[in-house]
Amino acid sequence: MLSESALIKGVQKRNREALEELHDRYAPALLGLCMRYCGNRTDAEDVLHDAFIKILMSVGKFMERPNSSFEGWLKRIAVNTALNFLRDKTKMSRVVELEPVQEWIPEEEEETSLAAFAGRLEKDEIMAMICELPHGYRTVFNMYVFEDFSHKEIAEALNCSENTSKTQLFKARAMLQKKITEVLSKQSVSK
Amino acid sequence: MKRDSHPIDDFFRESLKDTKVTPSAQSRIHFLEEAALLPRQGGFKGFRWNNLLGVAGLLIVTGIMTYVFLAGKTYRSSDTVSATVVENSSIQSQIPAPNTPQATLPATETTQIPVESPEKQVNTSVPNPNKPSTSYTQHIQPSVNPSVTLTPNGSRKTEPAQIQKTDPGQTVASVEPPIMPFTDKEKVNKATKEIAANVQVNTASPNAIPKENQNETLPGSIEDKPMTAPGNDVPATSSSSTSVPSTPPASSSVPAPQTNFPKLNDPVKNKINLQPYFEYSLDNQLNSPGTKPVHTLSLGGQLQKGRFIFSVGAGYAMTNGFHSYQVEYNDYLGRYKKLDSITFAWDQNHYHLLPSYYMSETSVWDSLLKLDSYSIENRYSLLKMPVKIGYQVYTKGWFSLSVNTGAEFNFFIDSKQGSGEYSAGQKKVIQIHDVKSDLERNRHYLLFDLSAACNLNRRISIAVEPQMKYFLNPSETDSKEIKSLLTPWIRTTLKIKF
Repeated sequence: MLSESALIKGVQKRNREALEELHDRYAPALLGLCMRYCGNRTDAEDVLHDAFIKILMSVGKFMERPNSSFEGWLKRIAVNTALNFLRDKTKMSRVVELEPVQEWIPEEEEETSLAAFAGRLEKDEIMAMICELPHGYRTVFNMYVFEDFSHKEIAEALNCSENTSKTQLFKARAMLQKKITEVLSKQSVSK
Repeated sequence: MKRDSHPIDDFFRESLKDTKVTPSAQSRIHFLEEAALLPRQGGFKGFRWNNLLGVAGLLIVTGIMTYVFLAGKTYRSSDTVSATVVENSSIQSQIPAPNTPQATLPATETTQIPVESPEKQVNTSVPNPNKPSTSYTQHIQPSVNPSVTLTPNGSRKTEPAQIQKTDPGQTVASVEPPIMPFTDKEKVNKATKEIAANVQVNTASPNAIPKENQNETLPGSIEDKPMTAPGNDVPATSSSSTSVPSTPPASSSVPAPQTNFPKLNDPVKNKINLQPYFEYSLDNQLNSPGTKPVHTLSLGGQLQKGRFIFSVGAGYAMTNGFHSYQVEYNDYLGRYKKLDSITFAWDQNHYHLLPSYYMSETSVWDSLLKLDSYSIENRYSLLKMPVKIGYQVYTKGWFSLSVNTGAEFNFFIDSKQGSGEYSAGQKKVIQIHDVKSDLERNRHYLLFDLSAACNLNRRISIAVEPQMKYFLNPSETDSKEIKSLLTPWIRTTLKIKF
């Protein structure tokens, strides 16, 4: 197993072994990230492939930042690639969302503790809940929860207002809460 | 701004933060294949440039130093044009009279001997009768055309003789075999005889070569020197390859050979001749009409020993090629008036609402993704480094024919995009993919060629070289597109030696 610096140098030289190790080491985590954004495996693998190509083309730039985390840098590239993919996909789509953008933030509902349900749901089921969200909600939710973007950064990235970002996050949470409740109720019924 | 914390966020973050999904094997293979085609990165490019510049500089310095050394050596050895050798009294009686027909070869046959660039070293000596002789040589100015020499009557014929150094007290005018690329002794002897017939050695000594030795030695004739009648003994010291029949020289003087092009390098037999040169070449691939010619300006060096040639070079090459792009687009379907908003006004007179429709023109494109492609002509710069060994099959006068084999290394430097842009019209362009050109990478060949060269003068030569090149490092794209790795080329060059 190569060290990170040796791996990066090998990738720069397009060494076959280094490329294989790069893919084997980081592709599973990045594919999981891409699936959270894309919602399906096919699109996620396309985005993963594009992200890796970008990584190979710009790995030299990472060398200029010695204090950065290589894995963190890879994830940022994957996130940006996924966002570009979703942006292009939105342009191609003829479906226009009729739901108006709310300019006000509804009151927070009573928070429900989900710690008790953490062990009762499989990761695949949890991932499926994310994938079932509309892509706008899903994107904002992923960026806010997993990538720690602020609403301002999300608004700049997605070319929308901060309030829109907040609204989308609120709705995403509401939908996920509802889905968790449905899944858990189904499980208790089946038992 | 303080981030709000929510249980849903924490739940999903904790559940999915380390989620790993194994990619399919097909995606892995696809990635590895495409990654192998990407250009390499890193500081190696700069390192490679420094190395190449260093090698090129070393070649230039070596070529210049060798040229200076050899040229100086040549001029030093030709300084003794004037007479320096003196005969002793015993020799004086051995040199025949100038007009006495002696040691001349019957001009039965005149064959042109392809000589490399021989130097005729026959010192014209004004012997001092009072001083013992140590050597006996006569100089003739070298001729540029190695196959042309001067006959006694001044016309050009064959190589002049080289008078051999003898023991002190002896005058022996022997003919050294000319410098020839082949070692056929009979031909050498024949040629030697003819050459000797054209050499007239003048000696200060009145002595002549004895009759019994006339068949073996050639005194030649020396200008303005009296010669005794034949009859005196002159020991024969000719080698087996230098014996000549006894025929008198045609004239008593050695006319100065015409030397329009003095030699730069002394082509002494058994020595390696280094010839640096500048070269411009034009390469055309024959079996691919769309391929643009390659223009190359290079600096090279050629080592020649006998008929064997070794050449290396480094040059800047330019060629044009097409760079392809793939366009993803949606077809334009048309325009329609989109309803933006409706406002209503109450009509009090008629007790109904009056709507107002706000419309806007909106274009519509198909959602089906289509592909299109276009090409732009780019200019590509390469560093070309050929390494060849060859054999000179035939040489006659200014023309030479040789066969060569070796390798040609082409290192990609950069490309310059030509003019031209994609015109999408009303289509909506989604993405443009850059399809990498095969010329934007290093390409190395094994080559075999037949070179037909013509020397216009002592420095400039042109050559036409039909070549066969074998592509050593095709990419996967190359191997699918090109029918054969072995391609015919035709190369024309203009070479300037220095």
